[in-house]
Amino acid sequence: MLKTITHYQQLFANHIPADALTPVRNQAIDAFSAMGFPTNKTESWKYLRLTVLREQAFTLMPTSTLDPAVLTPLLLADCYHVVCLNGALMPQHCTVPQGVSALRARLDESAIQTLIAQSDLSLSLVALNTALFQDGLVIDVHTKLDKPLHCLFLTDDAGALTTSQQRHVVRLGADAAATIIAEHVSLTTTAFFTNAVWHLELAERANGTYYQVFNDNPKAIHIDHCILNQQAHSVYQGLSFLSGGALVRTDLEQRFLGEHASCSVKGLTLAQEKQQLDQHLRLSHSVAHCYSEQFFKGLALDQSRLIFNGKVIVDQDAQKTDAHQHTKHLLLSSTAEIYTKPELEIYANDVKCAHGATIGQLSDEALFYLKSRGITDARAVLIKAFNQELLDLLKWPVLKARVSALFAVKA
Amino acid sequence: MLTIKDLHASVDNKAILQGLNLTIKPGEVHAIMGPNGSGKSTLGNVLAGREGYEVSGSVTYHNQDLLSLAPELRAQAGLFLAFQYPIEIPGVSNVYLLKAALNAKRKAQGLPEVDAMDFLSSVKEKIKAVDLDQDFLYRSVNEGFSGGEKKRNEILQMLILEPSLIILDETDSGLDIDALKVVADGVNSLRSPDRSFIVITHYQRLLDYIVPDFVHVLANGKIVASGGKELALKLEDQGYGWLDNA
Ligand SMILES: Nc1ncnc2c1ncn2[C@@H]1O[C@H](COP(=O)(O)OP(=O)(O)O)[C@@H](O)[C@H]1O
Ligand SMILES: [Mg+2]
Repeated sequence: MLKTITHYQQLFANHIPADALTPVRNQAIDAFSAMGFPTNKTESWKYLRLTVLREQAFTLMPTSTLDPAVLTPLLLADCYHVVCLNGALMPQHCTVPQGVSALRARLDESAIQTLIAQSDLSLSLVALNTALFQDGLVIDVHTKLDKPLHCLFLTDDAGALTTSQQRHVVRLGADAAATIIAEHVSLTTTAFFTNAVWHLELAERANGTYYQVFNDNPKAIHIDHCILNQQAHSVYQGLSFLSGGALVRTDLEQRFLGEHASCSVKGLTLAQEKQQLDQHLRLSHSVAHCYSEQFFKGLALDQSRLIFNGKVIVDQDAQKTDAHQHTKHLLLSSTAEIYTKPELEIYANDVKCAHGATIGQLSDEALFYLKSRGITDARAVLIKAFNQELLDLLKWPVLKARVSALFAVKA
Repeated sequence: MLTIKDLHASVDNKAILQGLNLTIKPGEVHAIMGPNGSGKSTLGNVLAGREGYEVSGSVTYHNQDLLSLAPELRAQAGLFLAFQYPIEIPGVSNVYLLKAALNAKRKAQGLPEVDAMDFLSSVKEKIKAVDLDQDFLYRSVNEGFSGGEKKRNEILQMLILEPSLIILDETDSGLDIDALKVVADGVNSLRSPDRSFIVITHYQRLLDYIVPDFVHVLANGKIVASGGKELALKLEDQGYGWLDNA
């Protein structure tokens, strides 16, 4: 552990050039050095085994080149495209609307500095990212985007046993609208460590839709921390599909900053083999008249671990809050583990909150019914049926087919 | 077609079937009647391969040891159970189930998958025969169906799969007279010299429409009386009480 902390201190000292954020970065590396990686004693990380992170000294990801023959089939039609390879933006492979650029080029902007300076350095991976992030995307949208923005995050063999620390800023201006599809795909089979922090800022009446597809290879470690701020009347819809990776942890830290805003987050997770997949959400109703909805489904097979923690905080002044949280999980093996925890902290009195959490198994009766009709892969059919309602939310046939394939479980 | 010898079935040491014998030849229709709890559904379930029973005895179906086959293989070999209480399967559409079931059977027979257009036109014709709207095809299996619609849906599956041994477990209960006729017409349309039926029912009424070759009375896990269709009339008239004294 100490050895890896020293390792990251050295990466910081030797590879992170001075920039406008150096004072913040200095604080961040100190904060990380003091904490190290989370352990089982850190409440919100207690079900994850982070041994690899504590023991493996990942170096910084090198840049690489991309074979168009590999890239082309991954690009979704009728979209703008952003392609990042090993954490670096590949401008020659991008077709983007105005307002999309690399973060490095924008570090002198005070608004961006302010956002990054607000990072919560008490979170060790956010601190590590703040110290080490090399680049990322800035996506500024001031209109209603006519096409979705498909962001492909690729890692290739050059990225083996390395880490990319990414920082992304997405800002939707007043009345702007955009759909962003972030898809994480591995072009390598070796381990790597992605640690990303996203800032999503929705101004008044902005409408943002954010799809995430985590399809990293079975050895990958992926930490994705998202900070979402919503101004009045903004509408956010998030939809995540989590199936790849050895260890994936996503955090959504959402906050309503203006009234009459709404936030709907949904997701589907499939944990297999020895995967550890962990999603933490924290939605904060700090003002009145906002609507939030969480709907998550997941399945755990083999010796996997699936963790879901959704927290809704309704402050005293957040009257007329309407908050919903529903989770449905299937535990499909006696050696798999599912930990789900809905947490509602309500300090206002005039609110509507609904929640429900189930962990179940496939129905024996339904299995028998299908088998009695000659169906050989009854289990796979029921799993598909369980997944379908979330897969059906994917509007693009190519993406839907791609994601559906990730969630198909063999009989 | 089917030979059942000394069939026993129990759950948690509770004996349900206790030495049942029955032989069914191709083309025959056998009605099985009996009081509630006598083991009629258990017989259907054991023949279809439901887990959870300790089973002994032998069942030969088309010269195969039926009890050693997995339920899906029994179905692929032409056995069909219309459930007393068909269950709902959210997320699996009716049309998907029908097609997958048919293709599973065809695959077992070494036939290619059914042509999609042929399948659809045949399904649309057969769903008319059971008096259900076409949109039932695209709804989840039995989800939100009324009791009668569930039973008709079972008959639809039967019509599509054209099984060779059909077990109807109280398919008539809870049906009004029109629905009963729909079920009976469906069954009668499939009657043929190489197809057999076991019709489990509580009421002789159904047997006015599906005329059986034999009627058996199941009580306490055994067949205690067998006869022609007049036996059903006697049961209707006198109930099951006389059997205890017999
Ligand atoms: N899975 C089971 N567990 C416990 N008891 C059962 C089970 N299945 C059936 N039984 C019992 O076995 C008896 C016969 O049931 P069943 O075959 O459903 O009768 P029928 O269909 O003739 O009404 C009943 O007493 C019933 O309660
Ligand atoms: Mg019964």
